[in-house]
Amino acid sequence: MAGSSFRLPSGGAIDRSSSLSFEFDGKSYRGFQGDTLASALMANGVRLFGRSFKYHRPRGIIALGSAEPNALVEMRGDARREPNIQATMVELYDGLVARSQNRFPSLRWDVMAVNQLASPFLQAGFYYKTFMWPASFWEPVYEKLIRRAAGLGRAAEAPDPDHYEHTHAHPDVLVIGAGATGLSAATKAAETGARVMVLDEHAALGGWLNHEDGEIDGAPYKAWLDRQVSTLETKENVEVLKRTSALGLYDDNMVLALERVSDHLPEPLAGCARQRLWIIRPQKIIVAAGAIERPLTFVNNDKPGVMLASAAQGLARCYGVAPGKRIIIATNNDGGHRTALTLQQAGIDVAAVADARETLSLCAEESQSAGIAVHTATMPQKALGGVEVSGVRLRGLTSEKTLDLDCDVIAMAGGLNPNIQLLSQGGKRPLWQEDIQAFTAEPSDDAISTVGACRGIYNLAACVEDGRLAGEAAARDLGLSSTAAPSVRIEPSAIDIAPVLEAPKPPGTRGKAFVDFQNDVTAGDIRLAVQEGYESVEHLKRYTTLGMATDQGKLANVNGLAVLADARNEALPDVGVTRFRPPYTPTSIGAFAGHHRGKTYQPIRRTAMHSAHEECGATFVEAGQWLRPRYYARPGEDMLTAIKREATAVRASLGVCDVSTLGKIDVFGPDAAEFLNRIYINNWLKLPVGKARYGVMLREDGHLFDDGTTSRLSDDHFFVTCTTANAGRVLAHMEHASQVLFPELDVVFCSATEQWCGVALAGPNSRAALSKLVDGADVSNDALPFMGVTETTIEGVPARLFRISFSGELAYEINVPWGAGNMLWRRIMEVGAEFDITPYGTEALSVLRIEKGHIAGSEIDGRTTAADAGLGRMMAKKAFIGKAMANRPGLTAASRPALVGVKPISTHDRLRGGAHFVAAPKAREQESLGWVSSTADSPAMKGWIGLGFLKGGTARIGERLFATYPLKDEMVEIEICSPIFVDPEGERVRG
Amino acid sequence: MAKPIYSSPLSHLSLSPRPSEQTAETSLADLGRVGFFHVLARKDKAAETAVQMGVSITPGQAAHLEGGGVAFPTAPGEWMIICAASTANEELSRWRVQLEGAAYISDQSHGRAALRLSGPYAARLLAKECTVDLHLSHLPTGSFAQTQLAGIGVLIHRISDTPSFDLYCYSGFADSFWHWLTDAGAEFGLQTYQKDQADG
Amino acid sequence: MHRIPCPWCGARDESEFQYQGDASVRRPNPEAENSDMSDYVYFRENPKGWHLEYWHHVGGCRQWLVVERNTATHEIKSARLARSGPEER
Repeated sequence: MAGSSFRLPSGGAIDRSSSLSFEFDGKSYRGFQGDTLASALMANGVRLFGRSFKYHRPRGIIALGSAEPNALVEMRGDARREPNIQATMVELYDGLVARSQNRFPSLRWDVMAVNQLASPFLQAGFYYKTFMWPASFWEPVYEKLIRRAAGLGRAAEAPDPDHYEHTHAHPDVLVIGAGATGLSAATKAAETGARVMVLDEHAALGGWLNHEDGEIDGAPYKAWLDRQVSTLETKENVEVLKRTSALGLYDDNMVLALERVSDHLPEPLAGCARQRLWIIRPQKIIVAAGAIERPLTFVNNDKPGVMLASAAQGLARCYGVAPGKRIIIATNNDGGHRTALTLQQAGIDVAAVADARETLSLCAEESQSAGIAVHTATMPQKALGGVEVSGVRLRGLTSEKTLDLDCDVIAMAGGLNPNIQLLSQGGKRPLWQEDIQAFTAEPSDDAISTVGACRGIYNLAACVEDGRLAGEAAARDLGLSSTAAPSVRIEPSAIDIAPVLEAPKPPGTRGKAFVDFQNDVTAGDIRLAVQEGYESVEHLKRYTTLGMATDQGKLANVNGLAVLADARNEALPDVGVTRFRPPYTPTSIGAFAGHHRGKTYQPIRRTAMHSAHEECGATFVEAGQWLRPRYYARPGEDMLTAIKREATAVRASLGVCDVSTLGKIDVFGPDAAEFLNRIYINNWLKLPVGKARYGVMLREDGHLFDDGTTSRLSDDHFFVTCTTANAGRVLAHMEHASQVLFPELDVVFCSATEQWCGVALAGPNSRAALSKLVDGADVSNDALPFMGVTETTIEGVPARLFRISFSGELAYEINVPWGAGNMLWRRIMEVGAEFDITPYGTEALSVLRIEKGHIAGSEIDGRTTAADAGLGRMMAKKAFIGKAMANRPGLTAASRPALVGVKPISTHDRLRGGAHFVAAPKAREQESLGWVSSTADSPAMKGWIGLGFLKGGTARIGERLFATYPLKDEMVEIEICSPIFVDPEGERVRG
Repeated sequence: MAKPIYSSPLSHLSLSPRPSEQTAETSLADLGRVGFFHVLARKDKAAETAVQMGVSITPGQAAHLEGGGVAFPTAPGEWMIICAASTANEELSRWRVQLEGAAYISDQSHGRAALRLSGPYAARLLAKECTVDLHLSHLPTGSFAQTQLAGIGVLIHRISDTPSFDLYCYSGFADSFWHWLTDAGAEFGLQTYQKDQADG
Repeated sequence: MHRIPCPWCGARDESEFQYQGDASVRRPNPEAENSDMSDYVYFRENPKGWHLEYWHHVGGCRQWLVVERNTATHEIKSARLARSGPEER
């Protein structure tokens, strides 16, 4: 096995001066720059790449490039470990490490290959049939067994250290595929000045031009190719993306493409992405995706050594690797003969061509003249050998004579399938073309055109011309070219092909003939499915999993349809087709996520005082996108201790809390008050200038939406505040009201959330501190009474003072421009020092508001009404959003749970949010009387307290009930009380 | 009373001033404070407001204002006026008087952060998250787009062909936006600096 | 992904918009019968084919748009500002 015995002495687009070392299954090998992992292993005589999904059959490469279903390997290691990578798409780099998959204990001796013996279980529909067995067996027995036996590869367990990104592009013309056709189209379009993007999944452009010799426009392929590529790459209006696969065609002709930016390197270069997802919005799409060769269906056609003729040719021509020592080609068209001659020219022994056609074509005669035996009307019946191919049994299609020949490679040439996968995704229905015995997909949309082999044109000169015409047509449609449209379109020429893909299987022949290599679906599975009634192509797909593997059935679909047609005794085009699904090629989740993962999953909003909080030792919490201080632990303090200390300090003396995250909206206009009147449940028309008012909004369905304090700064200027969580929704709601519902109102508004930052200064000493803070303004109870608003300055900075309170203490909210946030915090800490000022976070804020019975998000949970929350009397006699529905019977029923306070009988018991009220201490089977919405370990009440919604509401104050929390098996005896625990008369806020 | 000292939403980054030698690299600057006013025309008074402002309404096209500043027509009847921070107070007073009765103005000078991204890879960098076509043919110098980058609402104003873009986002997002820009710019060797308020 | 032709901002990706439902419904007079309001709040047709829909351009000009979209083909025929009022159907 060792040594480079399969490397040809010359040829291939490899750099023989650059030798690279790599490792496969722990063994070291050498290859060259320009190799893929597949070609380098083949050069080293390695032909066994992995084990199959279901039966663990040994597998080698079948195709080259992204159509490869078999040669899936696990790449790299540790956090970069990545399973199911096509070895045919992996560019070799020095130090590359890969492993085969799905084998135990080793690739060559795999114990799971016994699955083949159990294959009657695993045939078509095995999942469904297994489900029919006793359900109790399924999970513990069969699922474990099947999961161990099936599946491909292992994902990394550590977070991916690399980064992924997106890029949006808006070319005039997007050319998918940079073979001769695509390059020709791109060049023509680029000449007109159009913005052109051309992409190809390989590192080397040119497609089939790299596979054989010939001339275009009088120049050898290679010279023509180099000229096209260098011209395109130097044009400013052209972007050439190599290593980039178009993944999908979506609505409004958006194309997603994956660029493997760094996959060909050991690690990404500094600052560079591992992969980049291109989101492309082209005006015109030219699909030049070429064609993919079809395999043939015969027994053991999955043995390592059986491959597509194009793969054999590609190995020799692109990588200078002999696919084997002795090749036999099985074909149904001239393609096999062209491969035979190309391989022979490369010095490889081609022993014979089995041609399914009855008469010798000109091309077949060329093979004969070159000394290659040609067997007409002949197909392989079976591949012979052990783990790998050692021969083939040929069988005459008419004579039924068999002939066994020695070989180590069987190259299959079953004709070409135009690569219509993207078009099929985009909903373009495939059409069977009798002339070329294949499906094409004609786009109905004039923004998309298919060209070249992708629409069944296999003559290279015609392809180049077809590309030119498409490039020119695109430019013409874009108004960039005034050339006249050609009167005739190039049409595919009929090809000489025998309409047969499956070898006859005489009665008594044993063994599996594979159709879908990746999902291990055989011709027998398809026939069994038909026999069991799954005749429809859609049913067949799901029952057998035909075409549902990561290769999306690139090789399998048409061959499967041929078997289905035979089983149904119909013509192939009559059995129907299934739709391809994106992505075209397997794509890492990281590429789809791009920048949006981990800490950058969504943007983070910081308040103006963020740095000050950090200096005060804040622990932050995410509140929507905002980061807010949760608590400020002192050294040695745990969270609960810190929260209690902060809440206690506010009631005892003075606390300060950042409330900048509240939504703020400037509302202007003669109709501003009327507008507010329609969106709030309470009245706004008579609110005096210089006063604030608590407001409540409903959704149109009558449930609570949001609350907040809104102030009148002048006759026609209101300043609305709303909760942090709902700020965006409230603005959108107001925009709906103003633009859609009430366009007649003379009102305008905009967000001012980040123009103003704010703090709450709360506690009995807040007025004393405030008077030292402001530049001389009178903040006495007379000048600034409860719910009063005034404008002043602090250190020369404009400031707004709102005498409002969420904590229930004497308190003020102070707003200054965002850029003065740190100054404000610093000054407050200075003037508050003598009162032992304590910064408090959202946790203490929550404790304080629960003690005061103020509702918040846990009470406004989308299911509660104003009446439920004890705010029913705020609903004014006027029209407002949500009023009609709030008055419907279901929302006004006396039996609805309403807001109450709750405290445990034993001060040692803890209350939990989400606990249910029940009448008796039984764990189950009793009616829920309501639920606990918010709880706090209250320093003021010296124990746990809560708010909740209880059937009967405050009428039940004094009753004893139980709060059950079955998840923790807790049952706490409680007393129902007023939701206002602290200062029920409201003396402190007015003091 | 001392003149108030305001900090930029990015002042915690302690950026250095631009190195003296001008390089051709792609660079990102915190422009510090600017005057930023949201003009809201009253019902049926968009045209009157435009006349008072001395601008014609062309969506997507920034208009230079007589007496300094640029106006962006961001929505029907709405403009963002941007001017130098040094003249912001005077400008705000002037516009309030001039547009009295036709439009209201919400001062947003603190509500937005202002950044400048310049250099050969500027458009390429923004395109990593920008769904709007930034090509010169689509977003010529002097035009602007309001869109979202990395989940953040941004007003992108193209100020030169080279290319160079001024970017405005809400102040609370500034830190996150900055970090996205510097992450995305790492492969281009993005240089960052604090623009000197004095250099206009 | 849709590209929605915002009459103010130009064609923009769907990701800048919030879908806001059927634009053919009309809010009844606030004093209307409870059942009218119930129809307005809860009941929606689910047409196959052309449909008037609200799309809120939150990532751009923040205008509510009325978009005419085909639910079967995803084709978008028109988009106009909702503030310009209802249109004869």
